Amino acid sequence: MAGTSQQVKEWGRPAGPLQRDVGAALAALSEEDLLRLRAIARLRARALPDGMSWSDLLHEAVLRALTGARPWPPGVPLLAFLAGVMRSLCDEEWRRHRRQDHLPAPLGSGGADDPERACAAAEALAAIQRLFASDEAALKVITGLISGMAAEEIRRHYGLTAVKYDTTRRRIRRTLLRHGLAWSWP
Amino acid sequence: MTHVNYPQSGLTALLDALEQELLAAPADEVRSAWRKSGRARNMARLEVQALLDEAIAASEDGSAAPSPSDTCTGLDRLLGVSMRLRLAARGHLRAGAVPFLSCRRH
Repeated sequence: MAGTSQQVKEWGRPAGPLQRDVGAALAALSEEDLLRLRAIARLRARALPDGMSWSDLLHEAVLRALTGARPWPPGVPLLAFLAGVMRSLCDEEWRRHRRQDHLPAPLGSGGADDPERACAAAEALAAIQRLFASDEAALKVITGLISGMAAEEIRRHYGLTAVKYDTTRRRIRRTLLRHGLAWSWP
Repeated sequence: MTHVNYPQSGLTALLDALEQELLAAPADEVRSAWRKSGRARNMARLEVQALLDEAIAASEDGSAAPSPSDTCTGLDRLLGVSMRLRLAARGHLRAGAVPFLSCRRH
């Protein structure tokens, strides 16, 4: 019976953290996490329509988390959750953009048959590759990631040792973090 | 190499991987990436902090919003408007998008 009583208590709880918990968790973010969040928002906003900026994207993600419009699942770190909300907002924004232009919704969820989105994606890919233009190993890893390769495949395909691969990934992270601070990308 | 022919799926794969890198980056690595950019780092942090404060204030203003089940004036729609208001304020929205704002709760 104790188990049943416990179950009832569990059912009575909200599915995720309370709204105020999101606010408290946001207030408790470290400086590193704030800057990490900014770098992720800047990355995601590279290929958005209508001049939507990284700050619009992050603001909207945070707002949806705070109001519970996007519930924060238990056990998911706040930054990972907000990153996921930003990711789905990007798709949502493209769907809204197509509706405004009275274009039919793309058949696939990835937008592969949306020429405007494909063009924006190609520009974003080029901008990211320009960031690493002077780093041959980083470009190899980036190209592998674009092709959907896993770490082991990238290492094997480009003949990178485990150490070389790890140091390259660290350089990629540092570059992205530094450019998360910058006002513009190359 | 199918992603090469489809920039959108290639970008999705790349962004997901880079996002994981940023999320998993150790704190000391994050600090060291910005070690030599004191002023820019401070400004960037303040900017993100201000953005979060703005979102918290906006969520408190909208606390009496109707439930999401009301599809015309529901919370999700209201939140969609918040982004469009920010864009419109900076002149990013085209004229065709403005009537959408008329749905805003008064």
